[in-house]
Parts: sequence; C-alpha cells; structure tokens
Amino acid sequence: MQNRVNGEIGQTPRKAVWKKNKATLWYYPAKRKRFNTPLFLVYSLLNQSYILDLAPGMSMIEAFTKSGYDVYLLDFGKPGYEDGDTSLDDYIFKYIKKGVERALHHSRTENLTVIGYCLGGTLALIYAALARESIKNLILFAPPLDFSEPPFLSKWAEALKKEEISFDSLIDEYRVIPSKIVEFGMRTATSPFTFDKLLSRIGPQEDDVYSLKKQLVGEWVNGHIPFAGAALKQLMNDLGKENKLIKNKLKINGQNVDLRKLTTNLLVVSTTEDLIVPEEMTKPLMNIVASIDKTYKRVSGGHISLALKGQIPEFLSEWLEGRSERFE
Amino acid sequence: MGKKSERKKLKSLGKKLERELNTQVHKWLDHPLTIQEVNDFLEEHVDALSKLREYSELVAQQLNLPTKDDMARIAKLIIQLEEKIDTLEEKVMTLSQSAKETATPLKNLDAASPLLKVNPHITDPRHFLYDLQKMVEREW
Repeated sequence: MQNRVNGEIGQTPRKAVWKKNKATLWYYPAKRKRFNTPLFLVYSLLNQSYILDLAPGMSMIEAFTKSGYDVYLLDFGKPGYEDGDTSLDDYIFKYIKKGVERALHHSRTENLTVIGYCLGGTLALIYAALARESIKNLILFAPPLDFSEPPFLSKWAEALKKEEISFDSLIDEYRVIPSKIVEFGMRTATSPFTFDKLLSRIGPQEDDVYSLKKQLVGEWVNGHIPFAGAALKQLMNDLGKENKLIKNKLKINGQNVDLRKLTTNLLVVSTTEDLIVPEEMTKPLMNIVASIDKTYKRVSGGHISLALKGQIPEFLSEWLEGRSERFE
Repeated sequence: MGKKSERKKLKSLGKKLERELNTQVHKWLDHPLTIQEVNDFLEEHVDALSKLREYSELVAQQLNLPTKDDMARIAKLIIQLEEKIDTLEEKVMTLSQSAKETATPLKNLDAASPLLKVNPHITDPRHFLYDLQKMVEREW
C-alpha cells in the first residue's frame, strides 16, 4: 500500500506487527475499542489490498475501526521471480495460518473473525476448514468456490477440462505471471472494452468525492500484481478444472479440505452486479458446511462495492456485533 | 434540458456499444477455432521462451555472469533463512509466554512452596531460596 494520489490512499493509522518475505500483517487499532474479537482480513492474490483502505470515508477498514473492532490485514505483497514456487499450500500454512497465530498473540485473545475477499475468501475458507486455531466467525465476500459452471468463456473451461488446452508449460516457463498479463487476462475474460472514463466526460460535472473515488478505483483496477505460478496452476487445475474444493477432494499440505466439517459461524455475501464472481460460484457452499449458524446474503452492487463503502452495511454490522465478544 | 437529455442519450448509446463490442469479442474468443489458434500460438511462444532462456544461460555462463535463476536461488535461500528466524521468534514468544504464566503462582509462595507434594526447589531455584530464607528465619 502506498500513498500515491495526493496522499489519499490508506490513511487509517496502522502498524506492521509481522513481516515475512513480501507479506505484511498490518494492525489497525480500534478508534474506541468495543469488541474483544479482532477481525483478520485476507485479500485476493490478484489485486492490491489497499482497496480495503482506499481513502478516508471510502474505507472498509476505517469503518471497522470506527465501529470498535481491532483489525488485522494480511497483505501478501507482490511476488517476485523467486516466488514462482509459492503454492496455495504455502499461502495457507506459511502466511495465513502464521498470520492468524501472530494476530492472536498480538491481540491477546483466544479467537478471531476471519474475513476473506474474492480469492482471499477462497483461501480463508480453505484455511478455516483446516485450522486448529479458534476461528469464531468466518465472513466471505464473493469468493469463487464452485467452478462447475464458469461465468465466462465456458468453451475455454471445457477445453481445459478435456485437456485440449493447457497453460501449465507457459506458467512453468514464466514462473511468475507478470502483472500486465494478469490484467490482460482478467480484462479479456470480463470486459475487454470499457468506455467508463470516456463516458464520464460527457455527463454533468461529478462532485469532488465521487470523481476522486473513481480516479482511485481506476488506478486500483489497473494495478494488478504478479501471480505466483505454482499457486495459479493449483487454482486452474485443482479448483477450476476439477472443482476439487466444492467436491471436498482438495488436498493442502497432504490434508483433505473437507468443507462438510466446517462448523464455524458463517456469513457469505454476494452482490447482484458481480460479473467476476456471480452467485452460482458462491452459494453452493451453504448446503455443504456443517455450521449451524450460517447466513447467506445477497446485496445490490458490484464486485468491489462493499469494500468501498465508508461504513459497515447494516446486515454486516448486526451479524458481527451479535457474534463478537464485547470489550469490558 | 435539451443538452441534458442529449448527454443521457449519448451515454446510454456508449454503454450499449460497450456491451455489444464485449459480446462480439467474447463470441469470437469463446470459439473452438480461436482456442485452437491460441493453443498453437502458446506452444510456439513457450518453445521460443525456453530456447531463449537456454541460450541466455549459455551466454551468461561463458561471460561468468549470474542469471535470473541464480539470483532467484539466492533470494530463496534468504527466504528460507527468514523462515528459520521466524520459527525461532515463535519459540521465544511461546517460552516467554509460558514463563509469564508460571511466574504468577509464585506470588503466593506461602501457600505453594512448603506444602507442595513434590519438591519444588528441584525445578525452581526461587522456591529453594524461599525455603532457605524461611528456615533461616525460624532457626535464628
């Protein structure tokens, strides 16, 4: 996270409590602590995590700290050429698990709430299914989980499944997929053409806050990060091609990820206008997990709408307050 | 009012064009023939990349220069080292935590030390010193 536009990005006070390789565990203390159960945020591997703390008044993290929660954010950083071997197993056990242990130690609490965004949600779910640490609540925002019906380019998915095409040797050769290729891939798969910037010039003058938000989001959208080859191969083959996660056949570090054994309190959120991760990729989880306390919520907005809100949506605030230990 | 509605119309036309273009691109992309063409291109691309890397490694060896892979190997060693330090740090954290926890009962030594069924000063010298002090007080 850097301050790039007039010092606007990432203004919530924070402190690094743990660093490993390119990853950093950031601690954002509550403005006035009201809850003992801290929040542990896991962001996607595709984009930079500063979208969760974009600018004052446009920050999910700021909203959480204002509501009285201590927040920990695991920022994976940008993988370099030497990180080509970093697999999902590494992300789960060497980063998320270790990060949670550090957060528990730092906060001196016995449990926490894990919140995963997009692909970070997929990682958070895999971790939660394997975790020995005490996870009180698990919240997933638009996590891609079920790949039986891909939302776009279905013939490509079919060709991958039939092994008519494979990206393995390309990934092996690159080791780490450069950010420009990640950006090109994402853009081609979702919206190859976007006239948003052009069209906004036609309309009436936008207010300063709105145009700043647009500018910051635009920068973030174009700021993809490189992708570690080993992790990408696992995602493409184990999750995308064979759909192992939702079929409870995924193995991480030799352990079976059995979602049927997940008992933690669970909230899954999807949005109506999400082109990248539609509801069909998320909702099937609800019928698999063993959690007694589970809620599925569909709200209006796009893939990143919730992260940009300057306040916690009411449903989330209620759900979280009811399941977090109060600070005496 | 007229300008406003014109802008609105232009915007909606732009949106429509964007949708139409994206649909057409996706239609072209999501076709078995395109997939085959991309696959052929990728095979050639990977082949070229692999050869380029082989030759660059050969040249680097002749010139006695480190390659990107050499640098990555060093970086990996540093990462491994960092992991080891991390593990040590965790152990220190666990030890200091347990030291803090075991230190608490000693505040109440009168109740704990002399009456303990096991001989505590074998494991903790503070108990031994405490017992010694009590003994000295009693005897003198």
